[in-house]
Formats: sequence, C-alpha cells, structure tokens
Amino acid sequence: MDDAVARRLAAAGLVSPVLDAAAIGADATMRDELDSSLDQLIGAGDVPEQPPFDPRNPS
Amino acid sequence: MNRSIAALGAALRSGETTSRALVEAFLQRRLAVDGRLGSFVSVDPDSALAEADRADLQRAAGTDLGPLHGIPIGVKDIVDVAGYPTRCGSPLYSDAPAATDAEVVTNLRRAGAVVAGKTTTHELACGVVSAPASNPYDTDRVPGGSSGGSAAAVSAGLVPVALGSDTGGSIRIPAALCGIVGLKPTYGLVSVRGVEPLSTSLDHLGPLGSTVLDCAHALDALTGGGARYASGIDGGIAGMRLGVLTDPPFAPMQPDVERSFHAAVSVLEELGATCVPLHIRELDHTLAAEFGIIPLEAFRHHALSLRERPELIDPSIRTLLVAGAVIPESIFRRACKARSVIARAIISAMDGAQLDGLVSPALPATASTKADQDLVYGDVTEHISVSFVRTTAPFNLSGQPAISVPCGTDRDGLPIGLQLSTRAGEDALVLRIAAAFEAATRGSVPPPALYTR
Repeated sequence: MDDAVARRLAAAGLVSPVLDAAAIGADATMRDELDSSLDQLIGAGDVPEQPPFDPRNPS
Repeated sequence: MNRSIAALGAALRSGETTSRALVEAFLQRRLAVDGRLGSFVSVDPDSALAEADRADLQRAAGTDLGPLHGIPIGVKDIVDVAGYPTRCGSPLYSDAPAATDAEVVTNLRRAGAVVAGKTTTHELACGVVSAPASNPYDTDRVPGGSSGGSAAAVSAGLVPVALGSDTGGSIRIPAALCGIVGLKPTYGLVSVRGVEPLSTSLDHLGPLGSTVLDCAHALDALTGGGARYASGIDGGIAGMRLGVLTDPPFAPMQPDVERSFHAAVSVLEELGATCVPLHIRELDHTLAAEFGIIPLEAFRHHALSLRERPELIDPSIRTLLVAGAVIPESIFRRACKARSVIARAIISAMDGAQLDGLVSPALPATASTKADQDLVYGDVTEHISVSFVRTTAPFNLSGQPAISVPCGTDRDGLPIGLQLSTRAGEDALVLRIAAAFEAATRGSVPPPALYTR
C-alpha cells in the first residue's frame, strides 16, 4: 500500500485488516479516474472550500 | 379498482370504502405477494389500523385533511417513523424504535396519511439493487435502488405512494425500472430532518407514486400542505421549449430504450412542445463530481461504524466509505467546485436556448437480473452502478427537480422511464410536463405480473 494511503488510514483510525484492500482499491480508482476528469473540467490544482450549494444560484 | 390517491380518495369521500378497509386490503396483499417481492421490511398492523380508524373517525366528523387523508403510504427505512426501528438495510443499526417522526412524516401525518410500514432500502441507501427486494415485473430482476422497496410496493399496487431518497438517482432509478413515477424535488425543498444521510449536499427526499398527480399530492403534503403542486399540473405543454439530451452521459443506451426515448420525444412534440437537441459538454464529468463528493460526506457520517464494525458493511460500500478517508480532501473540494460548474453550465444552456425543461432517458437500460454485475451496450461494458447513475446524477449535482415517468417497455415487457427536468424551484412545472406526457401515453406500460388485484 502507498505510504500516504497508509498514513491517512491510520490518521482516520481505520486499522482493521478488512479495510486495507478497500483502501487500496478506493485510492487507485479515485485518484486516477476522478482526478483526471476533474482536471479536464476545472483545471489542475487545489481550490478553496466551496460555499454551501444553492441550486438557484450555484456559485 | 384504480388505486391512485385520487381514486382511493374519491372512494373514501363517497363512503364506498374506509381507511380501515384500505389498510386491511394492504395487509392482505402484502401477505399474498411480499414474500416474493420483499418490498416492506417492517409493518405494524395494529398501529396502521389504529391510524386508519382515526382517519375514518375524523372523516365521519366532517374533517377532511386533503387528498392523502386515510391513504396508506410506505416510508423508506432510512426515515424515522415513531415506533418503528430505522435500520437502513444494515446490521449496523439497532432494532430500537425511533422516538419521534422525521419532519416529513410529521407533515404526511398532518395531511392525514396512514403509515402502512417501512420499505426496503439498499444498504445505507448506497446502491442500485435493494436486496432482498425484487422487481414486480420479473422477480429474478432488481427493482433498482436505493429506494427499491418503495418502488416495488407502489408498482405492485400495495400502496399508491411511498417515500424515497435520491442522492445519485435513488428515486428515479427504481421508479423507471418498476414502471412508476418518481420525483426528485429541488434540492432543499423537502426536509431531511430525521432521515439518515448518505451525502448531505446531494441527498433529496421525494415521492414515488402510481401517477404524476399522486406525486404532486405527496409533494404538497411533504412540503407542509396546500395544493401548490397538484393544482397546476393540467396546463399542458403547448408552446414550451424542451432540450433533448442524448449525448454522454445519457448515451450509450440499450436499443429498445433508445427507440422508446425517441418515441417519447415525438409525443412531446405532438403535444405542442418544441424539442431541440442539446449538448452540455460539462456533463461528461458528472461521475467525477458525484463520486468525488459522496465518499467524504458518507465517511463523515459513518466513520465510527467503519472504525469499530467494518465487517458489518458490504464490501462495495466499505470501499466507498474508505475512499472518503483516504483520498485527499482536495479532491472533495475540487468535486464541489466541479458540481457548481456543471450546475451553472446547465442553467446557461437552458437560458441560451430559451428552454423550459430538459428531456432525457431516465436510465440507459431496463432492469438487470440479480446476477448481473455489468451491462453491455454494443462494444461498451459498464458496471450497473455506473449505468444506473450516470443519467440521473446530473440533476443531483445541479439540484434541479427531475422526474421519471413511464414511457414504454422493452421486448421483454420491462418498463422504461423518461426523465424530465426544469430549473431549480420549478417543481410545479416539471410535474405539469410529466402529467401532459402521462395523459398522452397512459397504458403504455401495463401493470406488472405481481400487481395485486
């Protein structure tokens, strides 16, 4: 498992062996597929925390 | 007998039936079919009959609380109903009964509705299968999810309307697969107080009903009373402009779904609407935004269970929850930003083409078998959890009202749904468009084999 993923698991108090495989799968999927799609839509790089969503006036 | 709210209400008002008789009929039908259907997880006959008797006494005393007065309804088992446990389809939850009603249940009771029982949900309202519930059209097939029990119960005629929740499509997906109407109202319109969340910024509550009018009556009750939504649905759609969405994420579709969809668009045109093709390229990124938000919000709510009893959570849901813990928070922030970009893009496209509403397939496929993991579209193979979300999730992200209304069947007789959407706050308009379509196509989806006479 990636050290960063292991650190985040530990930081969240998730120490059960049944969670390790889930974490590896989740990390790989989320990073590769989501991040690249988000890059295409809003560009690379972090963004500030977003305000609560208002469907009549999405910020 | 037509078992819509309107028909049952008329029978109640004329004295042809009583609320007690409706509840007794529900209990008998449930005994007859729910062993195969699995639509209800808990029913308290004494409580339901007592509520029915109270409604009958009120009516006898001259009190009429409106269209839902004395009508039995189902409530998805993530919504608190006093006296019933809220189990969320999960062994994580106790059998202890809720002490109080969720705000929506309070509103439904104020409108005179009788709680018939709690309906099956996919575990933690996080999936599109809703085991152990089955599809009334074919019990080897899924009813969809996560509000699968509510959809199966309405489709089989057990109750005319049931409450569901919708985070990525969980009202519209089972409604489409079970041949009924499912409305996801504007984000925030219906209270979620007393409801177990999945992803708070995407969760919506709404009705699944046998007709558009039933959903309108239910929405009136859910939002605190009056007839704001039911009173305006008869205006027709002549002169309206509707944008037709057929590009990804709405494509690819199964051939029978595509045929039914184009036939439905022709019906809308025959009713006087102008239908124009519309492409919103930002929607290509629907799933990234949707699945960039849900894991972190779901993890925040279920963190303790994940730490202490992870073995009690289905592996696929466990993976999603763990994702909320291990992926960088920057992905969540970026997904929230993407959500707003998508919502603005839809508004901009509608404004630019001067559209009143949007039309799309509710789902690209009909009900899969319980054994299916993937669906195939020509040379594209897709997991059902993607197939059954990609067409509905755009409107969870945008928060617009969206409704699935039956529009035909495939070659195996399985229902197909048409999805209609309008701008945020225009819930009455989406009901009006759906009602016009429904009136023009009534009977296009026959009742299921398990419909209880």
